[in-house]
Amino acid sequence: MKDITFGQYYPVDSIIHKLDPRLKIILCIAYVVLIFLVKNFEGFVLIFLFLAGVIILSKVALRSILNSLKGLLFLILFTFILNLFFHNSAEDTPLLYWQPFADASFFISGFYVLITKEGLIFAIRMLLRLTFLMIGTSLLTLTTTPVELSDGIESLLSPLKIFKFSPHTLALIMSIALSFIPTLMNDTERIMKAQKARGANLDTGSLLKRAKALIPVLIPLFVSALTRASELTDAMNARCYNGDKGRTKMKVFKLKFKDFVAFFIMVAIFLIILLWTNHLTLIVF
Amino acid sequence: MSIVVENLNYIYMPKTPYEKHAIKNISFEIKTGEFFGIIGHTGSGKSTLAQHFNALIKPTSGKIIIDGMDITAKKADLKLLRNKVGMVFQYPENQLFEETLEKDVAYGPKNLQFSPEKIKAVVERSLNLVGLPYEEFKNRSPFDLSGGQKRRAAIAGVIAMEPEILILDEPTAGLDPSGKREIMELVLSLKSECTPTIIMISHDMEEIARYADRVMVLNDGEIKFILPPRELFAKKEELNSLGLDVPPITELAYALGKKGFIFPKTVINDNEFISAILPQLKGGKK
Repeated sequence: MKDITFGQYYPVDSIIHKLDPRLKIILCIAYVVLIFLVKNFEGFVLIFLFLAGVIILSKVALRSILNSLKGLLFLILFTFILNLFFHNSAEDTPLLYWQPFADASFFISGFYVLITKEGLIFAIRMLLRLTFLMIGTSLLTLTTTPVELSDGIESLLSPLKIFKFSPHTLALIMSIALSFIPTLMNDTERIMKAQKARGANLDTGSLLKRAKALIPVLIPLFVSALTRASELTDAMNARCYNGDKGRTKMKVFKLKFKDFVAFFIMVAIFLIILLWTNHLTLIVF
Repeated sequence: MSIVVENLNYIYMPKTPYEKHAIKNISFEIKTGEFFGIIGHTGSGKSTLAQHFNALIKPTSGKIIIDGMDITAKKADLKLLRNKVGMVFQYPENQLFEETLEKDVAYGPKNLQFSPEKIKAVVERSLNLVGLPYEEFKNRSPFDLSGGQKRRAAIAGVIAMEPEILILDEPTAGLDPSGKREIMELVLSLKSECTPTIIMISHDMEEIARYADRVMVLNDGEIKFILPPRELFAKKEELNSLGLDVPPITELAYALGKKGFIFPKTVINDNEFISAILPQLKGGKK
């Protein structure tokens, strides 16, 4: 269970860790947009170099970053394979065409496998995009504590207050959800061990069998999650929680000089990548 | 059913910033029929060690041999092992899940593929043993029971698997004094009636002093002592420096000893205390 370190905060002291979380969130969004604007391979090389730079600056062990990729490896490969076989049109250059049952008289004679050059390029592009997307976004969560993250989001969404939307509530929900993840993981692990000690077999057998074997884990888990939730509600009520009315922050974000420097450097890098790789055809994409 | 532990090491989350060397090269032996206590302050590795006995955790290195069977081997028969070693976790009531007590207690025996007749027999016996009479409780939902009853129901679920070694991780945590007494009496009756070997982790020194034959003190993943309670609790200063206490009655005897009362041996229970102090009070001098 503990192997699921997907985006778990990596506690070291680095420039990236110290940046203002709001800035990191904005840059992360810009980075995601950038990934989808870049179309050619020079662009991906540049993004790779950029990512490598940020990773070195952040002092996060490469192992943790790769671990966060592991969970989505299946999704990434699945996308790659689907794109490889199904992203093609009549004008494309075929690389491989295979119609194994052409002689058969019934419906499977129409079955064929076709890989085209365009499809292959598209599939590789999507593969790189998803990989860079995952690495980039997990860098945000690896270098920012969950509290900073939800406070940052709250602060960024505060303009929405004029539409009667409460960013505070959203941030609270988020931070409670995030802080419950480790607790629930521990609960899951403990209950799984307890049931294993009672002879439960959770790791082998058919899919249906394994799903059934999970019932003894899931029911106690739900019970404990609901108990914890209602205890938390009581604890908040007992301390007079009243939403964000008149509430002050313990930590107030202030942009510092280094945040501005980081912002301009990043924007410059993003613009260079965009302009260089798209040759000013930005408007056409 | 002896347990032999040889050079056991366990490293938690290796090669991450959260890495922790939880168990450091320890070796010891627990004999058949022994009531073995494990104490140590939070984070000393007690629970981690206990989970090794049931192969719920695989050691980083080292061996555990239970009744001649190397349970750390790659192809260890886990089903057989879990039949031999029963594990009652902290707050075991959190593992109840079935609609009725009968079904819940039958979960373990079913996993071990006992025959239907045998399942019925062990469920009945286990529920009766833990003080939840079978006929009265078999159709009750485990979620309707009181805290102490839930805990006893969970223990019934473990002993229904007919283990020969029972591991209890703080079985009395979070109970009131009478609940604690009930659980400890239950543990003793289990020892005499079904599981001869008991390993118990506890924070309650009084319990340890009263019930354990030998006590292991763990500190930061290392064994500090393995001694019978009386010899162990004579080492008050050393225990205090490890963040552990002696039982309250031992503490009292120690304090009175400083005021001139004489205790010929380390006092670890109320009766010893009374028989040592009474003759000294009759003189009315002190």
